[in-house]
Amino acid sequence: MELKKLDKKVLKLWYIHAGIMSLVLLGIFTITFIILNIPGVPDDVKHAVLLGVGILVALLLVFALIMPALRYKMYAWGYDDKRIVVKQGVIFRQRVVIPICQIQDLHSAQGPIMMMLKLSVVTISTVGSNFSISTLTTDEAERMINDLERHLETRIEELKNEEI
Amino acid sequence: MKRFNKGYIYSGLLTDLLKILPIILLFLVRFFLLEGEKTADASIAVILFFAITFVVYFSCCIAYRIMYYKTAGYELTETEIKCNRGVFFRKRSVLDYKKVHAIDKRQNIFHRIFGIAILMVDSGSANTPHQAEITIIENSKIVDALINEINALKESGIRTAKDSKEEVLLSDKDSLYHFTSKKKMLYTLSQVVATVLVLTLFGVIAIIVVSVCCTLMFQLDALDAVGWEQSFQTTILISVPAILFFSSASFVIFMIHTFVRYHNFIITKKGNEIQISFGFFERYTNTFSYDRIKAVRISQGLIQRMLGFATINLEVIGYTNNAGENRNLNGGVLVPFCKYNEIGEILGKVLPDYIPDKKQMKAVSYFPFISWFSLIFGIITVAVLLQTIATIMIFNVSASVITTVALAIVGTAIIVLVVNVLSSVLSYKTNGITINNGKITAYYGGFIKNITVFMSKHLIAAENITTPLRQKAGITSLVMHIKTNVISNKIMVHIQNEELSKEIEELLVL
Repeated sequence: MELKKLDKKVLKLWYIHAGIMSLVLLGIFTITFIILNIPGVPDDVKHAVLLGVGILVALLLVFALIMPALRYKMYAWGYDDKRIVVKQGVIFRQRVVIPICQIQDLHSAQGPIMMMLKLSVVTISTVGSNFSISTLTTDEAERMINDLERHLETRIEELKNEEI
Repeated sequence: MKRFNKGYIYSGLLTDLLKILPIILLFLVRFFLLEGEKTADASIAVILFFAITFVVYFSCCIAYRIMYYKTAGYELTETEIKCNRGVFFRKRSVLDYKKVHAIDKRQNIFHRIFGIAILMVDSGSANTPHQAEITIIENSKIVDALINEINALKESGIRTAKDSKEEVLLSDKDSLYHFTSKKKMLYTLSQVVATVLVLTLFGVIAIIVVSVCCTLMFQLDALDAVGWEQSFQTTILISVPAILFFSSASFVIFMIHTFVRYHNFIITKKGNEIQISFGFFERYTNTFSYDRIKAVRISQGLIQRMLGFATINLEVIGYTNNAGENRNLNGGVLVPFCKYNEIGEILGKVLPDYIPDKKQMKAVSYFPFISWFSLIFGIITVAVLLQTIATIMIFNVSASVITTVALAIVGTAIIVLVVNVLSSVLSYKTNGITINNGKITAYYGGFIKNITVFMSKHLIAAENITTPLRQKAGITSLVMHIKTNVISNKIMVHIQNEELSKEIEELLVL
C-alpha cells in the first residue's frame, strides 16, 4: 500500500500552534522578568532566576519551532479496502495497522484555526481504542470517511459470507 | 412495566441517613465537648441549625427516592429487556437478549436487610463504558430467577448462531477454586511485605535527607556537633516506630479487606456460562459466557514473584473489580491468589483455552531497556546539578556546602538509576511472546510481571514502535490492541525482533 504525505496546509497549522506556544513561553519569561524587577530583589537572585528560566524557555522555543517540520517529514498515512496504516513519530517511530472490519465509529472534528485552513482530524474508534489521523484537508477527510464506510459495509458482507 | 422492589426506597434512605449522620454527630460532639463553655441560646441555635439541615436534606432524599421508585421499572419481552429510570434525566434502555454481555448481581449489607439485590445487565458497548445498560432493583430471589431467565434467553439466541460446545455441568456448590483462609493469610502477608518494603525505602530516604540537611546546617554553623547527633537520633527514633506502626496497621487493614471482600469466593461453570461470586458486606455475583472472555491476565508483583504466587484476572467487558460508576475500565478478578505453578491446573478447569504457553520469543537485547531513560535522566541530572552549583556560586556559598549539595543530587541520581537498572533487568527477563495456533501469550512488565493470553480473533489493531537506531538493529516494541476494557486494552511487549511485528499484523482479521 502506498502511503501519502500530509497536505502542506497541515504544516502551516502546526507552525501556528508552535507560534501560539512560543507566545505563551515568551509571556512566562516576561512575567518572570516583571516580578523580578520588584524593588528589593537582589541582583544575584534576579540573574540566577532569569538565567534558569531563559535557558528553559530558549530550549522549549527551539523544540517548538523544529518539531512541526520533523513531525511533518515523518508522518505518512494510507488505507485500502482492508486496512488503515499510519506512520508517525520523530524519535520513537510508530506504525499502526487498523483493520477496516474493526471500525466501530468514524468521527471528524475541526477547531477554529482548522476551519479557517479547511482542515479536519479524523478519529477512528474501535472496541476500546481510538486512533486519530493527525490532520487532513476537509475534502480528504470526507473522502476517507465515505471510502471507509463503503469498504466497511463490503468487508462485513464478505466476512459474513466467509463464516457461512 | 414492573416497578422495582420497594426495599430500594428503604435501603436507599438508610444509606442516605448513614452518609449525613456521622458528619452531624462529629460537628455536634466537637461543638459541645471540645469548644469551651456555651450559652443556652448558642446551643439551641446550633441544635436548630443541624436539625433543620437534617430535615431538609432527608426530605430531599425521601422525595428523590420516591420519585426514582415511581419512574423506574423494567420489562422482559420476547426478544429484549426494557428498563426505565432517572428522576431529572429520564433514561429508557432496551437491550436485545442476544447482545447481553455480562450479568452482575450486587448486594450490599443494606440491601440484604431488606432482601433486595441490584441486577446489572451489560452489552459491553463502548458508548456507555461507565454504566450498565440495564439496572433492575428487585427481591434477591427474583433477581436470581431473572439471572437464570436472561441466561436461558441469551443461550437460546447464541445456540442457533454457533456450534454448541457443552461443558461438564456443575452445581453451584462445586466451586472450581477455593480461596481458603490459609491462602487469604498468605495473600495478606504478601501485600504487607510489599508495603513494608516501600515504607522502609521511604524511611531510609527520610533519614538520608535529614542527615544531608543537618550536615548543611552544621557546615553553615547553624548547628553544633551535639545538635547534629540529636537530630540524627530523633529522625531514627521517629522513622523506625512509624514504619512499625504503619506496617502493623497495613496488616490489619489488608487482612480485613481480604477476608471481607473475598468472603465465600465461588467460581462455577454451567455449560457456556461462568459465574463468579464473592463479598461479605457487598456481594458480587457476575455471570458471563465463555465466549465473551477476551483475555486472561496473570500478574505477579515483585514480592509475589519472589514467593512464587500470582493473581489471575479476566478481561470481560462489563465484568470489573470496580464499583458501578467505573464499569468497563479494568479487568475483573478470576483467582485473587494462587501458586504460580497451580495456574495451569486452575485454568484447565475453568478456561482450558487460555492456559499460557511457554515463552518462545524473548527480548533480543538488554541495552534498549535502559538507554533512553538513562540518557534523558542523566542529561536532566547534570543540568540540575550545574544550574544548582551555578546558583550557589553566585551567592558565594562555601565549597563544603556546594560539595554536600552536589553529593546529594548525585546520590539521588544513583538511587534512581539503580532502580532503573533493576527494572530493566526484570523487563529484559520478562518480555517475550508466543504465538500458537491463533493463541497469543504475551509476557511483559518490569517490577510487576504480566502474562496476557488472548486469541488472535480479539486483536483489533497492531502497532510497532522503534527508533532509528533500533530500526537499524531490527528491534521493535509491539503494541497489541485487544477488544476489552478501556484501561487494559493495550498490551506492550518490548524489544522484540522486527519480523515479529509482521507476524502479528498477519494475525489481524482484515
